[in-house]
Amino acid sequence: MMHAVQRSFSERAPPLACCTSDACEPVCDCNTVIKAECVSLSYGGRPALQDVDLSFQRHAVTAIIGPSGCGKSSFLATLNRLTDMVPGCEVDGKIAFCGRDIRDPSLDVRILRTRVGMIFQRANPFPLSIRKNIEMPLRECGVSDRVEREQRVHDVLVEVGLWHEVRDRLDKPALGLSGGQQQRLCIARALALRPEVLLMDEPCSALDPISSGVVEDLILNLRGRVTIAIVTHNLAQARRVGDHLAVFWVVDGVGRLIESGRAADVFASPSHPTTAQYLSGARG
Amino acid sequence: MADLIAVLPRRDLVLKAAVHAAALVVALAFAALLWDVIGQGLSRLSWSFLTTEPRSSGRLGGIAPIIISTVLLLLVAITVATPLAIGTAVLLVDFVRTGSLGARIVSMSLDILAGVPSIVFGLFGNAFFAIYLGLGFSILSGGLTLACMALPIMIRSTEIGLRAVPDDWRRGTAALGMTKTSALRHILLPAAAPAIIAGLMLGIGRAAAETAALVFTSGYVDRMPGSLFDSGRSIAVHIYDLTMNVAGGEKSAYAAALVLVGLLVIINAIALALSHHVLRKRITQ
Amino acid sequence: MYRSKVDGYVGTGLAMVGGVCTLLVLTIALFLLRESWSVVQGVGLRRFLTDSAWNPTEKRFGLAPMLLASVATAIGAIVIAAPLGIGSAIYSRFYAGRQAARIQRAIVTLMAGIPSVVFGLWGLVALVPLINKIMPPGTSLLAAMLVLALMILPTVALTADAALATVPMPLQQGAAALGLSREAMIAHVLVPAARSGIVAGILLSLGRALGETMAVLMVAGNVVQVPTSVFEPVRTLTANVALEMAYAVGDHRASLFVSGLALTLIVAALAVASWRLSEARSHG
Repeated sequence: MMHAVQRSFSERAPPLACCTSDACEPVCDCNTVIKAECVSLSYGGRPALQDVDLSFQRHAVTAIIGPSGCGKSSFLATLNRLTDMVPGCEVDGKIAFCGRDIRDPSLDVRILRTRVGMIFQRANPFPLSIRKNIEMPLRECGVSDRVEREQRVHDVLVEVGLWHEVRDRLDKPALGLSGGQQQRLCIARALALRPEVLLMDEPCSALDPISSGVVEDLILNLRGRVTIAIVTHNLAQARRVGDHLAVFWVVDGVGRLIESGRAADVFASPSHPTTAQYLSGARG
Repeated sequence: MADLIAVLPRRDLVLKAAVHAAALVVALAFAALLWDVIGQGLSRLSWSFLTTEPRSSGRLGGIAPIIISTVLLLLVAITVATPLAIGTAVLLVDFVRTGSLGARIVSMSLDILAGVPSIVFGLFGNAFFAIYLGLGFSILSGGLTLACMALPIMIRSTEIGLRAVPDDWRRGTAALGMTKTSALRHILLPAAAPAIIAGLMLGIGRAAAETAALVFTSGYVDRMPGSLFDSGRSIAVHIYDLTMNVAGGEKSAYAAALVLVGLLVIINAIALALSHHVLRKRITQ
Repeated sequence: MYRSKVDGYVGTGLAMVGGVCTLLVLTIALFLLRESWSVVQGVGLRRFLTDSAWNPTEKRFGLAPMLLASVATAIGAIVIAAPLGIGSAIYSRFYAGRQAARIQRAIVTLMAGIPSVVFGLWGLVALVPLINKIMPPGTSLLAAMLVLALMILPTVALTADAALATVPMPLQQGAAALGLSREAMIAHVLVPAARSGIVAGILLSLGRALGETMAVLMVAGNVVQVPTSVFEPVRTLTANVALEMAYAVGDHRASLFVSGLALTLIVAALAVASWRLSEARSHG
């Protein structure tokens, strides 16, 4: 039965593909880019997250907030199936990306990840040159045209505001960049693959205030072009960048989504008492 | 109370003195050994010692064919062991989950291999490579036996090197939709290269120092080997033979020992330099 | 779970490579058994321990004196090497200044790299004449113990050093905060905390001492007998194999393989014990 459902999913939508040429189509133009239904997650049999229903609107920024240990980062990792890499991690429920079940066994998880990019708390540029950091994943996903790759390297570096800072040292080690520059390089690297969605797991929490501000401005710039899900500890940041807000909380030892909606609405009149206390600084 | 104060420092003093004495004894023993090897070896060591054939069972002449045999033995060993070592380490770190049945079986095999005494490798090499496979007493038999011996230490240090590569990079490559294979090729193996090379060198060092495993596999012949199927005497075997079987061979034995120790030092230095070089090149390219 | 095709092929290839190691262990076991089988079947294992003499060509297979000699040299070597090695490790970790610690570690590391034949050569030329002056003939159990001790010293020192390095900092700070002297800290807190690691290192060294051939062969005198003092020559199991393998045939050759098999089992048991200890440490 389960199998039949999954099959009908993949038959409806064309298979995912990497964006290998300049003229590639967006994966979808539907309003709800990612729809998570009844998602639960456990580590080695211990439930960490239960029954999360959350949708991500096209080209909007959804801020996910909550205290540490409430499962918000784990939830983010289910959306590009990075949870596959964690031994003992079990995910349950349904997650659709542009109408495709991302847990369909016939789906190529690598292609999914090129279309659902991810930025981590700690910037993780590879021990390669700045240029290669962006170029290599492109080549791996099938962008075989050199000119096209060069063009994309240029475009994304401009997009994240790094171009004039690094144009003279594209072939120098990426690890020589400052923390904030490294994080922007990682964002550029993900953007080069032309993702539909960018998952950001506390992208600013390891940065100094100034770099953090630069990255935040970048997120605001990307709004309207990329769908963004950002996990943050910083309520003020969530207020500044979030179009939508999702509040996670630990209820009876398990992470749950306790409230979600338009950011302005939730901040103005939270419906859940815990949210109200959290947003006012009384809890969390 | 007064007693306690008087007693404690004395006990402390004894411990302190013992620790210093131990360290001193270790340093002195090493110094004595090194002094003898260098002092006695240098008097016999010369350019012609390195470039001529041994005469009078090694009392006179040089060790040229023995150096060549040693190099060939090590080349065979490293050619065979390196791909196996890197492959197995990659398997253990990135392709099987720690604690799974496959990982446990391979790990246990390695622990057993690491514990097998070298003389037993000699017995095995003799029975399997020399007789069963018909390779005879040859550099090939000896080199293959050395490869078996060096395998566990090479795998373990490669494994440690790969595990030391930050998981950030593994997640990073996965999040960019790269295969494990290309992650390994472009990021993980280059990043682990210094440790991998150091591990391979450790294995070579162990192989170069080996005697017992070679006596019944590559044999005693001290002539210049014509091919890998010829018997060849390694430096270590030469030292053993000169010391035990050749009256008046000590001077030559010390000179050969100096060459062997020098060779090991050079191998390590190359490893170090190479690993720095590889790392730097990879980052800037 | 979907896996890329390339990863699938590579994984299969690597599994085969990994299998080679397991296969190698099995092949070694198989050949040791195969080569020793004729004598195990024809003579029986019991007689290896009960026969009064070692004279395989006349069907006397008493390995007991050599087994005893092996154990005696190895234990003697450990008794000498353990205090020296642990002392050296304590010195370089807790007493020496930066420079002195570096030198001490360099000495130990260099010593670990010296080939066993070189130890044997030095033992025979430098050490044996000294012992000869005290009590002829010089080549003796004592000489073997001393040379072996020197050989395994680096292993003891390096493993002890590594074990001491894993003692958690808070434990040291806690001990210091109680006003303990450095010596009391070492004796009552640090060494006990690192005990299982140190013992694991000693077991490992014991295995290495039992398996060592050349250094022992060169200085032990190689007379098959049960020694009555440390000044008498002995022959170890390993030396016996090295000495007789060249001309042994038939049951004689097979009985050498039996001693190899016995040696492997002892050393493997020690390795397993050492491994268990360090496992217990990392889990507990």
